[in-house]
Amino acid sequence: MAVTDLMPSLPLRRTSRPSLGGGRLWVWGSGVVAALVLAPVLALIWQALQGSDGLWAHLWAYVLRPALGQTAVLLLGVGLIVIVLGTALAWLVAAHDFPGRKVLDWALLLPLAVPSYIIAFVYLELLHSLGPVQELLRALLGYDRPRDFRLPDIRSMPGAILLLGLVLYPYVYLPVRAMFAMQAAGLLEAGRMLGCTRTRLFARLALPLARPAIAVGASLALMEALNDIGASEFLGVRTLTVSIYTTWVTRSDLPGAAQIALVMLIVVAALVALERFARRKQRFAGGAQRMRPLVPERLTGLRGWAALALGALPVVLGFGAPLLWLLSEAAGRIGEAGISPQLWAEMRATLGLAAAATAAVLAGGMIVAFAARLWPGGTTATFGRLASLGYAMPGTVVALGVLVPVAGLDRMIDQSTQMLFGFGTGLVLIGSGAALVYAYVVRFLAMSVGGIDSGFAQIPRALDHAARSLGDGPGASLRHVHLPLLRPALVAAALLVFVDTMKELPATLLLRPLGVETLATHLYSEAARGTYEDGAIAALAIVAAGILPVIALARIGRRTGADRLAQRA
Amino acid sequence: MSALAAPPPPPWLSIEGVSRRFDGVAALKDISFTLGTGEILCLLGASGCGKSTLLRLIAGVERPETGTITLAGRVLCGPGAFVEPEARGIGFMFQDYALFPHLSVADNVAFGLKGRPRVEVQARVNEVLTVAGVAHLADRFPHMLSGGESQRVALARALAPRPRLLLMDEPFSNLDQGLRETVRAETLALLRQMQVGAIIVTHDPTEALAVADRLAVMHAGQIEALDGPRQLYHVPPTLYVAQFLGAGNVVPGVVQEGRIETPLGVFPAPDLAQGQRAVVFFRPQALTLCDPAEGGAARVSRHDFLGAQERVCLTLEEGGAPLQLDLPATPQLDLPARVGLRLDRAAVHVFAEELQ
Repeated sequence: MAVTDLMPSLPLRRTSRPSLGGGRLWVWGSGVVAALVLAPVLALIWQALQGSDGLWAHLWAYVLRPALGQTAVLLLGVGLIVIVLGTALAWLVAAHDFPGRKVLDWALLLPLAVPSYIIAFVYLELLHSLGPVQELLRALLGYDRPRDFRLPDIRSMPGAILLLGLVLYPYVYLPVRAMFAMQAAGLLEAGRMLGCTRTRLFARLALPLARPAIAVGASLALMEALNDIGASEFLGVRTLTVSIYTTWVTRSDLPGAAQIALVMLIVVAALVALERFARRKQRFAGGAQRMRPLVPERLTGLRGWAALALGALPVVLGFGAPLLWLLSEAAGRIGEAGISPQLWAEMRATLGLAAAATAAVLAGGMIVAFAARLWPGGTTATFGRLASLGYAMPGTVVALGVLVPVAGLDRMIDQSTQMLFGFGTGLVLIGSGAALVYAYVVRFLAMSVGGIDSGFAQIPRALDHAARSLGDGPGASLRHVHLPLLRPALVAAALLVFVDTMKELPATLLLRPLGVETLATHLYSEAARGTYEDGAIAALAIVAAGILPVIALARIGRRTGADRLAQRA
Repeated sequence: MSALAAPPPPPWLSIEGVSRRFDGVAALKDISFTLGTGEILCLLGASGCGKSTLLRLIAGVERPETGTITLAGRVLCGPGAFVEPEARGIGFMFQDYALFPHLSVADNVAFGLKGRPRVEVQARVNEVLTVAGVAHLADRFPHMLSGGESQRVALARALAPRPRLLLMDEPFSNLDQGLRETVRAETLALLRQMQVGAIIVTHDPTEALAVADRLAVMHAGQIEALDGPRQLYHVPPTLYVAQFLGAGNVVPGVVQEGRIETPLGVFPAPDLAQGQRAVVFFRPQALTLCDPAEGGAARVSRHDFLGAQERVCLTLEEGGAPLQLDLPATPQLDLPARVGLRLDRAAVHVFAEELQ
């Protein structure tokens, strides 16, 4: 899941506009893409049905039930933290003016650049009983030995909740902040004109108005928490995701893993339902409001600095401290040993996989979005929704679903070449990384479908009609008119998919070809082994790449801010 | 002339020397005017002239850099003083109505009545909803309302706490043409009945002329003119005001010895300097047709049927700018190609030519 999910307009809209027709092939293509996304889910169901009843009872009692309990606690805790933190920070920045507010406005998004497994990796080190934080505390408090003074262990459920909340709160902060800034201003002013004081405004108006945005953000954050594998595992929390991984990899029980994955999909479906419901509410709330800037309350003197300190704390903890630590560790490592050839190879593998996935995801998204443009209506809208299914599916679930049909296909290819040419190909799809790219496509296709679709929405239909009346067919009009106009949307989608692929851990871990490591899996195995060699450099590279889409997101925010200023009459 | 001018009302709301800048650009420059009790004042101007900003300053949702605003003897804002918007007792109706989407119509209206006994709140909500003609919508939610219904609910909500002054930002601009005039007439009747003073911001001159007791024409952050609507329409103080309030003919010329000579005649221009470029302005209805021998001879270049009248475009044979003239519409238009023009000299205004 990614930053894009925070942007509006994921689902393809049903339009009743007359279509131009032509290009039936695009609709077929769209259907194929949708089928490719749907296939892993169907495979998963089929696989789950292969398990025997006796094993199911065992699985339920010893794996699934405890994992469900742990996941529920984790989701509740993370949900609570992201809602409180995200909403409070959004109100602080939207409705108050204090030193550093402008910087904080976008800086609060920075923790999005830190994947959950990296924040866990960093804090395991930072808060280790022999790590810098505890050493410093002991020095300050006058204790000599770790035995005399120890912080509560971060490797615990509360630790996992805290760390996940620290990097996931922006999912709530951003939509709520946008809501306060763009839609609520007029309503809050109306409230004041009706006698509501500034201090009561938050509880009486702002909070009820923000409820849909909070629900959207929280459901996205929880999908991400559900997807997490690294943090939970490093911190010793046995969630559903971790259980799938161990059931599959350690116990080689594929049907069992598929059964857990299906249970997980039910949780995901509940979160998606919540998100969709809240988005519908959001549309009502957003209806006729004109954008108007909110006039902030000025906090001067000590109150202003206190506001800055309070607002900066999540940025420091969720981004600044980890980044500084990674920088110093990486600098030390590079100074000592340089960058190892192994790390270079991993970087190349990471970039290669991300490039392949990005190309495939963009092509798929273009087919689906253009088909919906040519033939607006129920069929293409359904294909669009099916193609976007993956955004909510955890990486482990996607990987499991992809593995089954791809492994079957691999065997078929192997046998047929054996028969025809007398030599086998082995597992060519999995071995070449094609299976992994397929998993990436399933998981990230929603980003490009959504992004390209909203790019299309910006292009007036009259241009289609003009191009067609001047003799272009559907394909030619796509080349001559749409593609040039879609460039910003395509670049944005490409950036997001590329970076998210680089950061992706669970599916990569399960489907990477034998002997191939990416930066993310490198970090994972070092953290799992407890060795910290090149890990900091790998983590730093991932965080650095992750900052790019955050900057893009912050710039979009600023641009709408300028528009808002221009609109004041 | 004096019969046209509105009597100056005793000042109740007073604005003195108010200025406001946005990012270094002046949105309002040194605005001063007063409003009497129960008076309805229109702020009229093109978009970006600062009229909405002025309204928001009076409401208190925006602060002026300089200047003082006083309501009924109480300083609302000025040097060292600022009354929060919720404590001003001023009602505000927003252009987009700003109905709270999560509250029912009744709860929207009750919002401003917080702190009063529930029975009283209920009675007041029923009362204003009934007066506004939307009592049957009490349980609906804002997204279920039509434009006209939303407008009436917003009005009821603003009036519920009994404000003595109501500020309205383009209150009718979101309504369809046909509905707009009905709703406008009803709204004004309601304001008069409740004796609520109002400042209405609009960009529509016909609307401003129809509703205002007094009318302020704003231009580039300043009040260009403030007077009764009839006075401003018939005796406009500047060319901008004259042209903003309705169609008119502009004939340029040069001032010679206190007079300006045009193809339509010579007009006195006593206040203008020798040799200065000036314009003669008159409304289309100041021109009448006559025999070409008796008045300025002109050729009809075009005529547009506007329903109630026929707008005729003419060019003087002596040359010069095209002119407009209104004729009462008839089923059969019988217009010769060559006509004479007679001008009602009393309806002519001479302005120094403005450098745009």
